[in-house]
Amino acid sequence: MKPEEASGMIALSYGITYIWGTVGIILICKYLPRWWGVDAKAAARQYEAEFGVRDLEGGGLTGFRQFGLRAYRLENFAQVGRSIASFRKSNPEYRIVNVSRGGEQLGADPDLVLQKGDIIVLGGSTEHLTEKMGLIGPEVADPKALGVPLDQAEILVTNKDVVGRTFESFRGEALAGQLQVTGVERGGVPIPAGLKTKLERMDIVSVVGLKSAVNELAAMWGRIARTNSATDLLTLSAGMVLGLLIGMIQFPAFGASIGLGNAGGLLLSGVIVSSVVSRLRFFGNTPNAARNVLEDLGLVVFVAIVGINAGAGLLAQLTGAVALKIFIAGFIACTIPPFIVWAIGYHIFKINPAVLMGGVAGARSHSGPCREAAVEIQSSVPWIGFPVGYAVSGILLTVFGYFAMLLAQ
Amino acid sequence: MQGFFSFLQQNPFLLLFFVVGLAVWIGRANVKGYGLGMVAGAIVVGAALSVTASLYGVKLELNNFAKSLFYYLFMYGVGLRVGPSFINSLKGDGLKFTFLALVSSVLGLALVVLGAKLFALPPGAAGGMLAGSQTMSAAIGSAEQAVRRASSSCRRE
Repeated sequence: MKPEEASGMIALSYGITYIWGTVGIILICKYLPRWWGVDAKAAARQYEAEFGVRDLEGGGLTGFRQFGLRAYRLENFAQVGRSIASFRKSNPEYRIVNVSRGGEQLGADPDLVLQKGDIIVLGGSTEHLTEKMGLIGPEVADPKALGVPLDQAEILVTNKDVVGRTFESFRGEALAGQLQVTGVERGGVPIPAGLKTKLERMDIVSVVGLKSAVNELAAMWGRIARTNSATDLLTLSAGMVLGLLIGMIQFPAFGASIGLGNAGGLLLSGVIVSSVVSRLRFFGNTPNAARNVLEDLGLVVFVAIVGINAGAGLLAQLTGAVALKIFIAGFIACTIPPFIVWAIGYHIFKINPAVLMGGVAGARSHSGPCREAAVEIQSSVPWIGFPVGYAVSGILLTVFGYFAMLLAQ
Repeated sequence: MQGFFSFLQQNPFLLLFFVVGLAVWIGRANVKGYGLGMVAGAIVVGAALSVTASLYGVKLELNNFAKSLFYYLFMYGVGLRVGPSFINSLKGDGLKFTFLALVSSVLGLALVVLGAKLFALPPGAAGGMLAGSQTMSAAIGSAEQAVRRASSSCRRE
């Protein structure tokens, strides 16, 4: 058989099996708990309570602000004449962010002595800010004093000392009251984070808060990610060269020489480069958006060319019987693995069913079913089980295309 | 119509981005939340266009260098994305999910190969079925590599 015909066959059988491949896994993943007689919704609630996971969808904009900045005019004589440091000693839950005296912004040096009539800007949680009414004086709306720069940043966790610690364990830090965590991303996928969530290397944590606190936190956890929108093309090229070189390595096996090939080498060099970059931190900036373009454009253009080049020979090959056989074989290959995965995960590993729903989706490296599962049980808990399997099976299945061809000969 | 296809044939870059654009557009359309997605859309649009063109006696074909180039960029991007979690997956609770992913992938491969042998499907079907049934479009690339490798070793012999 000519290589063009084999290529055409790849495209054809891909198209035929893809339909059930994508719909099937979504349906299976969604209804597996029901078929097993498990209440995944209750399991998700239990997990949420146990690990303090917030609902990812529900974490959007609401009227409640957990953290606020407010300005007060100093009229309470108990505070007049005290330095900021001594004020904070007796009121540790507040932080003085700025002091304005006669229209002049004095900042918040710890030694600054407060005088009557100063406008004092306090930062803290809304609960605390409304607790000790009259501590300083009446609240005022002073746009100049309140014009303290806030910052929003995504922090990349790279520091070994904080990996494995929970968010809760940072509550005691001075800067905890000045920041709010707005989201956590792991392996490129947003995960629902709660107080008991443990930090992992390369997590991306989005925070909003005082500029100084954001920088402090970044120094403590790792570094600010994606501040620079430029892509380090030097590292990109070096990584490509490295991958192609790795692909050239051949070693003898089964009487022939075997190597990773260009694609396998590049996959490996991508893994190596991103792991090294996450440890050394100072080079190889590849913003997520740039990486997404590499992936999306790369794949869609490649597949489009495969389709165009395969098309001409397709009609000659396509008969109803072959198409039906391909559909049946694909149907079986899509349907059986998720059941086995669920059975192992539920009975042997005893994974929480709600988490396992995400695990089943991850094992197939497909985010669609995980999204559906999250909607079905009205919880974002499935996303917890998703990222690891997603990465592993993503690599395995990609490489398995080669082995499928080899083994089916 | 023939004029249109000849025009596309003479302007390969236009053909490429016409197909990609159409694929993204069609991939977005969905019925009750089930969409084709742009990647599956690309193969459907690409193949359909070139089948139709062949009916008019026009053979559409695009450069293999471009095909490989984009595929390689994609593979590198995948490596960059999964790298950190791949390393994380080798410890602690991640091992359970790693094992599940391994089971699922190997089982999928085995079933595809078994099916291809049982039904005596023509070469190429196994690779395409793996990519389709496991919805891993990237596997088309590695399957294509197997084809290219086989054909080059044939020529050498």
